[in-house]
Amino acid sequence: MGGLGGLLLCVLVGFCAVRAVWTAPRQWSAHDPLRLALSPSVGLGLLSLVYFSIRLVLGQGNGVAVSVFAVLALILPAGAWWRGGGATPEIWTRKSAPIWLWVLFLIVAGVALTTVLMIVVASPHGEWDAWSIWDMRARFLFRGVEAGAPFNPLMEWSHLDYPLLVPSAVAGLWAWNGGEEQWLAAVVAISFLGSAFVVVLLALARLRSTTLGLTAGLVLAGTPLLTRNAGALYADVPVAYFFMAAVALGLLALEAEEGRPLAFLAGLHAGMAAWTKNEGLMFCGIFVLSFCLVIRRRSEFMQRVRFLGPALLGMLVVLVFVGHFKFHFAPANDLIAAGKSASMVARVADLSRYTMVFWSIVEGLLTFGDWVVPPVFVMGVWLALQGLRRVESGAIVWPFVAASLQLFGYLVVYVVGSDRLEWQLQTSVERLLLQIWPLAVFSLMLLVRDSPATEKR
Amino acid sequence: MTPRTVAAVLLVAFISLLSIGKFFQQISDFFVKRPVVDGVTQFTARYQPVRSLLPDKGVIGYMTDPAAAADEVNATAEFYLVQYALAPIVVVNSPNQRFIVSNFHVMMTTGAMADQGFKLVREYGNGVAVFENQKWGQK
Repeated sequence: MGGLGGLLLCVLVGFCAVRAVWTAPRQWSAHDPLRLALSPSVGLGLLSLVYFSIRLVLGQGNGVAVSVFAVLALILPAGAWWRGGGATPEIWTRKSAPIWLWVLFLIVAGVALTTVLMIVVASPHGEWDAWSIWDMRARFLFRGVEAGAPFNPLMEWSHLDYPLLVPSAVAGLWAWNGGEEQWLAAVVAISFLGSAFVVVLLALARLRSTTLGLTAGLVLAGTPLLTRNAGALYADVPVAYFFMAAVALGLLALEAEEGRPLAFLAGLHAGMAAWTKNEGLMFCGIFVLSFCLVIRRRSEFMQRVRFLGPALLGMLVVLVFVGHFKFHFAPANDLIAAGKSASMVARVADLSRYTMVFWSIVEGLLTFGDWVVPPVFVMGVWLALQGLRRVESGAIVWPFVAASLQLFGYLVVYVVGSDRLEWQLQTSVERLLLQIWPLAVFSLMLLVRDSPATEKR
Repeated sequence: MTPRTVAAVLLVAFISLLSIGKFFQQISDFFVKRPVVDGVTQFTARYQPVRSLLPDKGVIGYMTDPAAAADEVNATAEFYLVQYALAPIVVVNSPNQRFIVSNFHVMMTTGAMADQGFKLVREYGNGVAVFENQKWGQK
């Protein structure tokens, strides 16, 4: 069938999985563009879970993994079709944005995608972490005959505890292809980048206005660091996408009349973040904690109950796989292992570590993104021009609180866990900020005033 | 849209376009001058024939020359790339294994290697060879 066929099948499986949960009438519906934008990541996530289960948990060959995913590709469309029978028609109430804004967005997104294509053509194996961690693990999974081989303690240097969404999705596509093709790893990276641009646009268009959605899309597409990191084939763009998509789907769930399916999808995306990088595990906790912190009025209590049940269920679906991986294959994380040592107390008591981390993050924020002008200033001026909106519900500040807590969590991990702090800060601050960037942009868009002339609420 | 909103959106759009445009230009310059084959493909291709000699599982040692090992970053990168090329065989950055794969940058004679206890199994050129450690299992 080939790698391209496998990739299209992933999109189909993702689309049908999203439609089977978040139902819509059988014909093309108003929110299907958003469902379609979510499909590559959901499809690749499901492929990676199937591939992991068959290859590592059950110890079967590549052919069995392909067959099981093919069965899923038969069941899910039927399920989506069946569930669509009784679904109520969807209505789109937002007015569109001016044409010139669409044109600008398409130009910037087009330039970003062309740039990332040039990067992956010039360096198909990506940068250091791609070939020493992510794609190397994909090779072990695809080529290996022993389930435990990719996690041999002799290879401790390659961060054996890192979760497997990206490697096993790439290996799964190679299995469909019947051989290793490096461009498939690049396509995985590019699909997450593209999904980030489109999901932020469509989610904001549904929540607030198309103008704000396009502005957010412009900011993300115009961030060179995001493009560079996607071209490097690192897992930071996928995890950044999952952070943003989880909270965006969560907010859509809170605004929807029947929000439980969307809450389930939100939880599923948070879980997928944990299946992509260890930072995603922290995010799962922060996703729930930040939600409980902002939704605390008595009138909102039932909203919290209705949301948290399905969201936790969605999260749990993926965390079961993450747990199995962590307990059966992965050694302890190097930062956690370092944190357990006796010197941890000394680290916590060392004030110079706090100042070093704080200033590194400030410096990282000021130089972030490879923009021609630091985005902190640009977004500051933009906020001043737009003006802040009145906060009527805690839900509006939820993404901002989640992004802030995630940043605070990174600060704590640096202070407590790292035994090579300076080196760790030099090599990772930029990437950790990048992980939060799409969520931060999404949160800022929710905090500004709408333009009453074009948008109605 | 109010004039303020238009100004705000245009500001963001202008800076975004300028930033990604500048990056596009940098990458374009690199793209037109790029080598026909990228560095990773070129390096790992040297180990392609070694893979066919090795079994589907196991551990192999690794050896490089002292001159290369002195440049720590490059030496680490090259070791990782050898592992990347030879997966699913686990490569250990040490000659203390029965079989060892080499990554030499300078001429090494089989005689000199034999004096150190390493018998040549097969040579692939470009500093790549597989040796058997004669002292393996003696301790």
